[in-house]
Amino acid sequence: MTVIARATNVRHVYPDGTELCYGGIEFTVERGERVVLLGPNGSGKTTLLFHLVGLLRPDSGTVRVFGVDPAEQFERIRRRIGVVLQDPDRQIIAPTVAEDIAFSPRNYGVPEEETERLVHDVAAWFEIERLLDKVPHYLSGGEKSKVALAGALVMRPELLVLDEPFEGLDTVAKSELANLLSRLHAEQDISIIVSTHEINLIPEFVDTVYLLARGGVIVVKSTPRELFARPELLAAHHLEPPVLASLFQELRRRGIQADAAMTVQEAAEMLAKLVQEAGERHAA
Amino acid sequence: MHIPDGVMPLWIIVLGWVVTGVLLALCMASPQRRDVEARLPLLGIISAVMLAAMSLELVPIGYHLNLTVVGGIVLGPALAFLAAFVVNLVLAFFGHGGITVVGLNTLLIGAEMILGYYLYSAGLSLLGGRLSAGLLAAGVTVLALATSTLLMIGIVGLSNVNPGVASPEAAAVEPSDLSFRNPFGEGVVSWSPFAGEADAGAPPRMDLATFAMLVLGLGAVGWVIEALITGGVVSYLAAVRPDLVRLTSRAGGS
Amino acid sequence: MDIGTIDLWAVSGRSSLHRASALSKLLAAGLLVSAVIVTGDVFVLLAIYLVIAAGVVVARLPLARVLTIAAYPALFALLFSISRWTGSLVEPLLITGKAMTAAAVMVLLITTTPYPQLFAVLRRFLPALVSDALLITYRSLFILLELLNDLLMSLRLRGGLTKRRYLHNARNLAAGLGLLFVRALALSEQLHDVLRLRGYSGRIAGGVSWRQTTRHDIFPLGASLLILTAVLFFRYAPGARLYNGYFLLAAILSLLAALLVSHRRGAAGLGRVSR
Repeated sequence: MTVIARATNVRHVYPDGTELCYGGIEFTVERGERVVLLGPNGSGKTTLLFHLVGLLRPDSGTVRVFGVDPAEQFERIRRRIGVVLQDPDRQIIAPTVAEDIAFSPRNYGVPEEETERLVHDVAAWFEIERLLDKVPHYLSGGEKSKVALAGALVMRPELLVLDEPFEGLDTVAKSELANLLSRLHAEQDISIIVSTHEINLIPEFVDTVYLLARGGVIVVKSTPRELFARPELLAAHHLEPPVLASLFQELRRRGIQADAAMTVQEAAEMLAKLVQEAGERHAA
Repeated sequence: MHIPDGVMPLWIIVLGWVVTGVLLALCMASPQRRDVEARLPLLGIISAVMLAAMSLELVPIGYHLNLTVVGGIVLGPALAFLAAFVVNLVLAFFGHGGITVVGLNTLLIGAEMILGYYLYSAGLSLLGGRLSAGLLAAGVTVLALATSTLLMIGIVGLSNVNPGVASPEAAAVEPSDLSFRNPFGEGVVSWSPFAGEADAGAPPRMDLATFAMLVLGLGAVGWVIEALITGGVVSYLAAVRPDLVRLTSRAGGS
Repeated sequence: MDIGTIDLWAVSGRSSLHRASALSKLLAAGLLVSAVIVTGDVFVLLAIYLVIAAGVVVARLPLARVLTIAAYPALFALLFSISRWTGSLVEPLLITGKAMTAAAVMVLLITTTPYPQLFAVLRRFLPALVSDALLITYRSLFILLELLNDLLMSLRLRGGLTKRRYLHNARNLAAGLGLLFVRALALSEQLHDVLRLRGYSGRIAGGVSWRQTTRHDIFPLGASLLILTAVLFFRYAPGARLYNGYFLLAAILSLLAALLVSHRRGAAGLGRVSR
């Protein structure tokens, strides 16, 4: 598999002198992979994302995205990356939703007819066509998230970078967003890098988890299933495992043999199987 | 203070637009252009901050803050003049300043901002650490606002304010005593368009001394309030983000 | 200057005036402001003001609130009026009336035209940098107003703003505004990043057609043209000033008619923009 993004021994020094060293495990993203950056506050998740999209320049170490140094040559790869920052409100620039989604294509010189088609296509995909002529600052948080995402995806990038996309959304909106990201990956084979605290949603749409410790060190690169089977590791980094993982660990602690379930579907199937087996034993 | 619509003769209004247009072009011409383009978000945001501050009515007679001197210090002269134009245009659309006199009002606000910047910078160089940034900014604010008020008096003096001819004879409704005359009392209407009916005498001139006394008197209250707030704002910025008020250069960043 | 309310009125209105194109309303505003500047007759000026008030009613906006917003320039106009005092009320009324009427024209424009539409027309005539700056200013203004509101609320809740403690309030307000500047700076840095990420390279490309017209354009254009013609007639045609009373009467009748229709709509439960 092709590696499209790589950060090697990156060191970042903040203006107040605080340092982040992304040592330990090398950070890589392969084409089509869905990666999440997980870690406590102060572990440098957002800073790493900013390095990947060229907004920050490392004090040492290297960053390569699509083969180039993004801090030096971002214009060469800009069209291939879609970015959604933590607060979508700060990202929406234009006075209407339609104009905001059209912002990138117009600025890249895409002909107007093609731009309109792209805008309508992406709006239809996100089911926000009714919002196209609305003024952004009157939209709800969930709607603004969708608009920001639509704006990031209108040019059909190969890599989507999202910084804390679930922040400020209600439960339903969070679920919707997680489903959207899964669907996006399934339909467009887009690579995704997300930083988030929403540990319960990670199994829904993630292939690889990078666990960052305070100070930026990457301590683990793992699948969600393997990582969430190690609650002690998560606890050491001020994180709790997803509710379902905790439930099945508690069941195992009580002597009930059950594999870890990552999603509600898996958990329901496992519990149904356990109940059936218990029923059969009882009948016997 | 804003010059409203309808008090300036046409030639001064046009002159205001022309001078403002030339200065805007100078601000946007290279070599400043790259700097202006790179700092466009800052220009827009600081203009928005000034507008947001202007929405705060401090005193029930309608006094509101301007934060023009702080804006000038943060933006520098070229961006400050652009911001003055943007702010005045937006204010005009919200009915807060005259739309025809955006040019003139831009010159006044722009003068405050630019003068504020240069006086503050000069004060920093000359006085160094002997005076706090806040006190310096407060003093500069009084000077800058006083100067722009004097500039406004100068413009008014230059203008020979002529709001229009007072109602002449034979109007159907006389404004001076509200009497009504039958307009058909002298027969059916017949008139020769643009026959050049003379206006009823020359309009009275502006009493510049009275005007100056009024604006300087009222203005002085505003200068003190603005100076207090500006001094407080700059003191705060000096403690939290000294680079913004030209005290140190900021290392690093995104 | 309740910017948030004004914007909401513009965006949520459904009257004929709201549906007219931005271009026609800008042209109409230009014609009306010209009429205000040209006229030297107090009653003609009053007539124009009443027609604008009728426009406010037709647009189903709260008349008293809109006219109060438009009355702001009267304060400055008064200074000029006092300096022009000749013993007659005519000049002061003219000066103050012109300022207020011109402001009323602009406020009617901005309360019936969403900023994006206005912006689409303006950017055709302004230098690129200025129109880009206007766009960013407008977009940021709402974010900053919210921030300012939160700041003021915090100050009030925590005793930072209390009655009759003027120096104390000034100090805290100054600190709050300083914080607003700092947050605004952070916002501008973020905006700079966003522009870079989204393809900005020196000019924000626009797309909304500025030449769009609708059948509702007839009303503002027609009315403003009529008014300017009348003003020029009264100003320059010999003897025409005899008839200024009729013009004023027509304006009063149009306002009464608008109020009556509005009252009937209200009774019928038809929507009105209010807040």
